[in-house]
Amino acid sequence: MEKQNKKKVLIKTEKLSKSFSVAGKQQHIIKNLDLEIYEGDFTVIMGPSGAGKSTLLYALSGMDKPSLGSINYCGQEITAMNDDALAVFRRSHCGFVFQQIYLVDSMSIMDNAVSTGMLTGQKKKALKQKALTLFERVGISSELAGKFPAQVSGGEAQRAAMVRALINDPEVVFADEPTGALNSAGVKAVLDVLTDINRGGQSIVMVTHDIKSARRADRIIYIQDGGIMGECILGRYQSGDKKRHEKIRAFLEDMGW
Amino acid sequence: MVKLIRSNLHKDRAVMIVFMLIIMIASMLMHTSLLINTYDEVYDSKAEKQDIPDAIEQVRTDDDISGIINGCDKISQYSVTDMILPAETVFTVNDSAKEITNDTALFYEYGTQGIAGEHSFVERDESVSGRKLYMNLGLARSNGINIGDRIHLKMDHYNGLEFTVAGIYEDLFNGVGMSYNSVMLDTQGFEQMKACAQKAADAGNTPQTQKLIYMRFVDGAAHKDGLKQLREAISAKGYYNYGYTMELARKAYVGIITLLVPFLSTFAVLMILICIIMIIFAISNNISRDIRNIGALRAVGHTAGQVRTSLTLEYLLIGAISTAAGTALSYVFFPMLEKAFLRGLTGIVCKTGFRPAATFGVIACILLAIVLTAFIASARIKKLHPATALRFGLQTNSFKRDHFPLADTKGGLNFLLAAKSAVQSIGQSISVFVVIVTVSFLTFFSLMLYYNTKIDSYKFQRLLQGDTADAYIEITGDEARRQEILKELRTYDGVSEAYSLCFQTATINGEDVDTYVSAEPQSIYCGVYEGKMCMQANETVIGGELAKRLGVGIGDEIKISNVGRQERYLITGFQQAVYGLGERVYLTDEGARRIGLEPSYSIIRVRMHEPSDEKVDKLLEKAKAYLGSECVSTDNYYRYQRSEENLPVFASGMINVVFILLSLVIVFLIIRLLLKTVFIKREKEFGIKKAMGFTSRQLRLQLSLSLLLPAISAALLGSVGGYFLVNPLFNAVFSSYGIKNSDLTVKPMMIAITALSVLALVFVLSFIMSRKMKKVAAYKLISE
Repeated sequence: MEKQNKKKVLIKTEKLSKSFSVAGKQQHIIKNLDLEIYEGDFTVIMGPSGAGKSTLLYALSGMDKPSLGSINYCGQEITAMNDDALAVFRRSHCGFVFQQIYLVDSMSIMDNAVSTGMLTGQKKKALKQKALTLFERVGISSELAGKFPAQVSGGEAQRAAMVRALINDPEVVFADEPTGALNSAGVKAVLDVLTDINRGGQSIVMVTHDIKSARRADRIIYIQDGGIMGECILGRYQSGDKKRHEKIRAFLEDMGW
Repeated sequence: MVKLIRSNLHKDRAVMIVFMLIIMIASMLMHTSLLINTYDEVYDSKAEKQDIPDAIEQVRTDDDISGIINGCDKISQYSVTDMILPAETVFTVNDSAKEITNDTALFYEYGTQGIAGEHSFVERDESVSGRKLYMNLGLARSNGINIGDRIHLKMDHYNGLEFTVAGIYEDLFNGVGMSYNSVMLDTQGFEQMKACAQKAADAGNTPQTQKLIYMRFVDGAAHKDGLKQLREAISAKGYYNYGYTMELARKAYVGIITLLVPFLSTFAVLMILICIIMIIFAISNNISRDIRNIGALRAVGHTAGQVRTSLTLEYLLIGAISTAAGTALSYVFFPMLEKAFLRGLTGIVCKTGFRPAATFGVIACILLAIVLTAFIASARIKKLHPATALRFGLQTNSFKRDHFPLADTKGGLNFLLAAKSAVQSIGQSISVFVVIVTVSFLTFFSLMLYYNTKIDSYKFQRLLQGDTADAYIEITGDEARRQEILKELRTYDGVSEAYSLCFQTATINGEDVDTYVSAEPQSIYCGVYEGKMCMQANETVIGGELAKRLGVGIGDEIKISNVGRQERYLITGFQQAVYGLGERVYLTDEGARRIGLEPSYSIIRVRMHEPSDEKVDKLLEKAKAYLGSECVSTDNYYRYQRSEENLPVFASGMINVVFILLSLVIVFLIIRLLLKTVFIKREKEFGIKKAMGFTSRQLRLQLSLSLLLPAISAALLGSVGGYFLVNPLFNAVFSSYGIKNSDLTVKPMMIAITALSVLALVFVLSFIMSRKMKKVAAYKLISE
């Protein structure tokens, strides 16, 4: 814990709460949650279904407004921002990868990436070049980039979505179960890219159910009933580190996983 | 089947509401236009019920004329009433500061209508105090005069007389703006007015006392022949006279109002066309959306016909409810319109009652159009194999080409994404295109009508009445003096032309023709649309309809006669004017005298350069000062032409209001419908874009621009279409009124104004109405 405290805090929440009204009844998904996400970390959020993992992720990324509490991003209080200011915040600081991929199906893969880049005022020519480089990095050919999402496989579409997430060089990439709908080859490819960009200095906040995916984390936060049950510091991921897997398993067992 | 229909109705609620509203308005307009079209019938029915005479005649004399009438063997029954026709009457109501000036009011004593009998009273209150006045409905309604109102009358040489309105009645001869307007006074009041008129005549003014003859003709005698016989006999005695038959009176009463019919029904048809496009668009969407359900239904044994019938029945049901509601509303709307406007325009009360032929006719026609469209639009289902429908049910997008790739196409992000959306949503773009073409055409039409009635109305007025001027001055004196006056007037500032035009009656092939004569034919602009104005004594210009009927062309000769004298005239041109029904004849002064016509130019017409109300008033003041007692009356016709008192201008104003309001409603409803559809279809896409950092404003802008892009070409096409088609449309609508070559002013600038206004409306409405985008969080959009 002491070692973690020396890192620069990227996102800090205080007494964060989020409630939904379901059939007229208030359901408290996140309750008074205090959390710090550190710059350059690969943070994984785990927990049972309905624990509030995705809700927390969307609140942290400014995609949804909390009911109570504050979220501070590098000194900026994002809970005070209006809808449009939050959109500008997201395009400038965040990248997103979703389990359902969520590419805009009426746009080509290239346009999905370029449109996000154009939002931050990048020049088209440079943007195209940057997108092609990123496509190459995630293993997508330039030919495939001209296709529509429905014309490529799930794994290819998810990697394309990662290019879109990275096109604005975000400080943090939020990933909501990015490997949930992929086969094992696809899972590895996506995790490799996330690990790779994390090594490049970008922070990752990922929600997952998958222990294999969690192995890539520097730190695992376990959420249950809207609060933090515990956390596990793993340090940098090294391929073939078997003790790491055991440590995670033991942590999760402790948490009642 | 019923469940399927109910399920579709539930899913398509937004579409159905818009569809219902448009069909309801369309059926209401169409039904209302049919109700208005019954005015001819209503007039005839009232004429029969009130047993009105066959014709009336005004004769300027105080002499006994019964001997002349008795000499006309075509007249079977008549009565003669004394009347007063002032050059101008000023009404002041209830001490109001506003003065109502009228030059068509004629007065006679109540109870002396003779064979015209008791007029049909709409309202009556004999208990009012003071001297009683009874006014015809047209004059009362168009000036807001009611029972019990105190009326102060002011006329030349009269000190002013006070009356109270005791009754408002229908007068089927003298009771509408285009004819004279009767006002009946109690005995004492009329005698007082008569004495004043006599004093004025004694002082050397044009006599105002006249005889009003009501007459019926012997069985088998054509009304116009009977009237002609009397008029010839009276003219032979040298009395000025003016008369018309019941048939001509009916035209004056219902002519203007029935002009509304083609415009209202055209608009209704355009709205139904929009609905047809909507049905095609909505059914295509339904099939794409429900393709798997359709596959499942087919798989369990429903035939394609059953599925198509369910879709068709859905629209039939909505159509039946909407048309029934629309026609029912028309029965509510029409009496309101009739009371508020039509009574003032027509001078008669029109209570139509239930019209089953019109009602069921409208419902049947609209439903037939709906059923056919829905059934044809669903033909795709017939070719859809159940397995194909089930297999490809999920494949809702079939993007084959990457239009406007962002990195390689010039333009801003919002514009390019809007362009992509417009190209990909081709059904939506076609709907927008069709609606905006229609709305732009109507807007152009309204703009053109406004310009031609309010800003530069010369062409419009000429189209209606032939030659028209800015000021009319009625004078006394002989021809030599008239020439001096013309010379003097032409020296006044701003005067471009001063001339006279006299109305006479001549005969062609035994038929009376309205003949206009001028000693200054070079100044006459009477709507010559082919050839040129007649300038020589042996030349004539005739109405296009008359030429068609006579089978003559320019360069041919026709024989024109008057009281036994006949001469040949060379046709130099064809003329048009709604009021003349294309049946007029124009002659030069010398030409008219060849057949013994004796034109009297008591009215001088003055046309000005760049006229205005003030300039014309100033001119008339100067002319009055110059003429002194030689001036009988003056009329600022420039002001009248543009005022609501001018019935065609009033009717045009109504058409404009209806068109603009309905255009707004249509644009509003269609945008609402499209946005609802867009939100349903692209909700996830908006959520994703919001998550990626697009602001609500950007997304709304993209939505508005995606509607605007097809709207641009549509607005241009609609307004350019208007530019080229409004005059042909006028020709078509007024062809039965003798209009062959409408030349109303259309300017290229009107295209720009129309297109920009419509586009601004589309953009602003769609931007405002898409504000729903603001309220939804990105995460919620994705998760929904």
